[in-house]
Amino acid sequence: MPIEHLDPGSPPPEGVVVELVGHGFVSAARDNSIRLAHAPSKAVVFANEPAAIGFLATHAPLVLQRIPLKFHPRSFEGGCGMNSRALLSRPTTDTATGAPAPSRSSVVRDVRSLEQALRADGKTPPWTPPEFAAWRAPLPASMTFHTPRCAKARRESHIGEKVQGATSLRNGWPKTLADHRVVASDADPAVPFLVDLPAPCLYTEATCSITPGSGQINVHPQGRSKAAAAVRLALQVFGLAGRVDVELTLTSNIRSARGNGGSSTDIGATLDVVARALGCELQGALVDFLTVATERASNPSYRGPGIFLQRAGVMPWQWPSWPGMRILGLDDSRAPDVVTDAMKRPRYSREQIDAFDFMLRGLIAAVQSGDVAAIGHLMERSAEINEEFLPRNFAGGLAALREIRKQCGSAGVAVSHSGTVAALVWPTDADDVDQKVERATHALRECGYDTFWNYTLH
Amino acid sequence: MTLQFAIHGPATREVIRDGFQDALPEVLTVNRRLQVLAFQTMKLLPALAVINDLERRGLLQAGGTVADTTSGSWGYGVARVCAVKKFRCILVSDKAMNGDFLGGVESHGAEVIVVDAPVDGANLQVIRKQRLNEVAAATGAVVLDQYENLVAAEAYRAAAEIAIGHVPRIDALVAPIGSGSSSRGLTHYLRSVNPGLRLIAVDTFASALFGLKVGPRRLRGVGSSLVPGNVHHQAIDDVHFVSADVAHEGVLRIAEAGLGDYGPTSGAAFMVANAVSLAEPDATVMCIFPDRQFRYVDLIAAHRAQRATLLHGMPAAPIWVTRLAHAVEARGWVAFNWRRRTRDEALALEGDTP
Repeated sequence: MPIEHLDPGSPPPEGVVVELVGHGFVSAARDNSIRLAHAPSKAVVFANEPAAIGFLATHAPLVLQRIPLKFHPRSFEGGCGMNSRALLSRPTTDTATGAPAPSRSSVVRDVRSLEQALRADGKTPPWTPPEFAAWRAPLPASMTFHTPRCAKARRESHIGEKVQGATSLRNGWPKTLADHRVVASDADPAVPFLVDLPAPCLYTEATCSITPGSGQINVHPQGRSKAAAAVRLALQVFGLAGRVDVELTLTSNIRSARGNGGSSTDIGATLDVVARALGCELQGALVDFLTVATERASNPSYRGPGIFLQRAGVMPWQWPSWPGMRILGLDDSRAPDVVTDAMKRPRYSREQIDAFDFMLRGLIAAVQSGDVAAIGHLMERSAEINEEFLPRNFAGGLAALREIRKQCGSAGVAVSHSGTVAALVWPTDADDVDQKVERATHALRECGYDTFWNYTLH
Repeated sequence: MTLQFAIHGPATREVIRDGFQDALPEVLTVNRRLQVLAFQTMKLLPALAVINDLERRGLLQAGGTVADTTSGSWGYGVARVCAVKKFRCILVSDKAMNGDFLGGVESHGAEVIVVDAPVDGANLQVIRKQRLNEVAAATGAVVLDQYENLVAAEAYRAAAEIAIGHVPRIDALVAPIGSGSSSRGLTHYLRSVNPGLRLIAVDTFASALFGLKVGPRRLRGVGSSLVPGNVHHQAIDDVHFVSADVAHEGVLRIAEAGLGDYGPTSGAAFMVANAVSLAEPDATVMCIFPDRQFRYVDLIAAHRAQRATLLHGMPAAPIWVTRLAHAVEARGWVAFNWRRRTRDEALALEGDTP
């Protein structure tokens, strides 16, 4: 059920049409609904939260138009590729008066510099602070539902990545992704990317109930602060922040800090379940947008095969399916955890970025032609490069995995580029694949690995 | 040891943006394990990159003059680029550039100075270089210097992108060596994906590139009387010395394989690539075809006329030698395990003076 039906007495939330230089998505308001479509430079964004206004002012050089829009969450489509961390930053204005908040963040600084620039140019910024309050949708007098709205959602995860690195924008990716660049070169920026190795056997299930209230959010088990942040963000998007209470329960078979994408899977499941409870469905691009906002990066497993720019939340290349692959995932439970948030971002050299560019071209061709041997070769090359940034110092390291790969006729080794898990891969139509997997499992056990996931990917 | 390029070579899309789509190669499939990177005119790619680089660095202004020495497709490439970019183009060449090919170069507005072969037996390439220096001094032309200019090697980034985009894993690259640019550039980029890639160089007899005694060469397009700085000996695993007859036979076999009409350099590479593929059946081999046949139609026709005779006694596979001194033309096709050594190292071990 569309959310505006929950509160027929209140005016719909408002949105703005903004120009986001090259962030890769456009919007058009049609019949009072919101529609996002692929085209450069423009977007409709809900802007009824001060932090969102600050974010827009930071990232959009010019707010083109402010128009009233009814909120149809189902109509979200298309790409959504911006750095949305600012959505989680502290409010840039006092929520009651609209005046600038006393805390000084970069968002505020950018808003001001933008405002000064526009005024110097003889223009009046449409987002000046006094308007913030006007843009806020008024709180409804009452909610129309009388029983909790409940839902359940499930998100699957991955075992590390086939390839992960940074790709040059010279490859034809949108230039505006330079906001996420990892090389300090205006002439030749590069952005982080990954191609994951999905694992349907690893998942998070989320259940939630939403009731009218004052904004209380309870997450079970306790300590899942990112999931709580995701709930807050989802409520902001639906214009329900501070109006409802949420009870969220997460059940997961993913061990965190191993490279299985546990926290981003939690966040994905959380966003799904909140949306579902409200009778909505979030499109992938918006989920990526919100996940990046919550934890700086996202996890593309649910979006199917593709090259994913995880810091931007954009999937600029997709394949219809993976070639048939038999996967033997593995982990050494005694190996020390890898806390992704504490890891320094890899600083890839120009030579390495060149290598990744070529590897992506190779991967595109290999997946299209169903060449699992070539995919395996590229996976292993990526693992080799990653040794410089996160060496595998346990269970014989990458060398032992490669040796077992050779002995067992596997196509290649994939590793988690920010974790301890890894995987061996075979084409599903390889001769005696079951025996090879069994032999590899035995050899890996002798090597010290004690956790395995044996499955087929299509 | 990988080569450290100073700048990024042009990406495919940048070459297309510049309007030189025909500079890009296509990938032809002989079989699952043997692929060909086939150019229409290979030197168009480095000519574009070198001239773009000079413009970018401010060394070549609008309406400026460029000059270089060439007897082959480099001149054609430079003339094409200069015609589009409105630069004056002066090429110093010899009698090898003649007929329709010379006409084709001149039709793009290039001024070609043909140097006669020296009567005293002096090295023709040295004479051409001297003449080039005189021309450059007189006209203020910027000398492109394809043999020593690393940008000419970096130019093959776009070609490597196309190769990888078709064949994600390449185990061996068979490359004819002339200026050394294509083999150097392609190997650099392809090894970034597969560091284990083996580079098989194709040279001819009486060429200085790998230390053979210099003399007259019947096979054009590979080999040189000088050793260009762009030849990266330390990247090369094996070298094959191929005679003109073997190369011309390769041209006919390319046509018979349904791949099209390519020149003798391509023929030499094709013969070597087939041998490598047969010797290493699990490896994926990529072979470079540098240009089309039109300059060499008469040579190929002559070979076809005498094919039955020439095939008698022609080696079906390379004769592997352990000393370069044993690489003599009478053997027709000789291979030597170079082992990524410098030229000096390899020749010192031979007991020869480099």
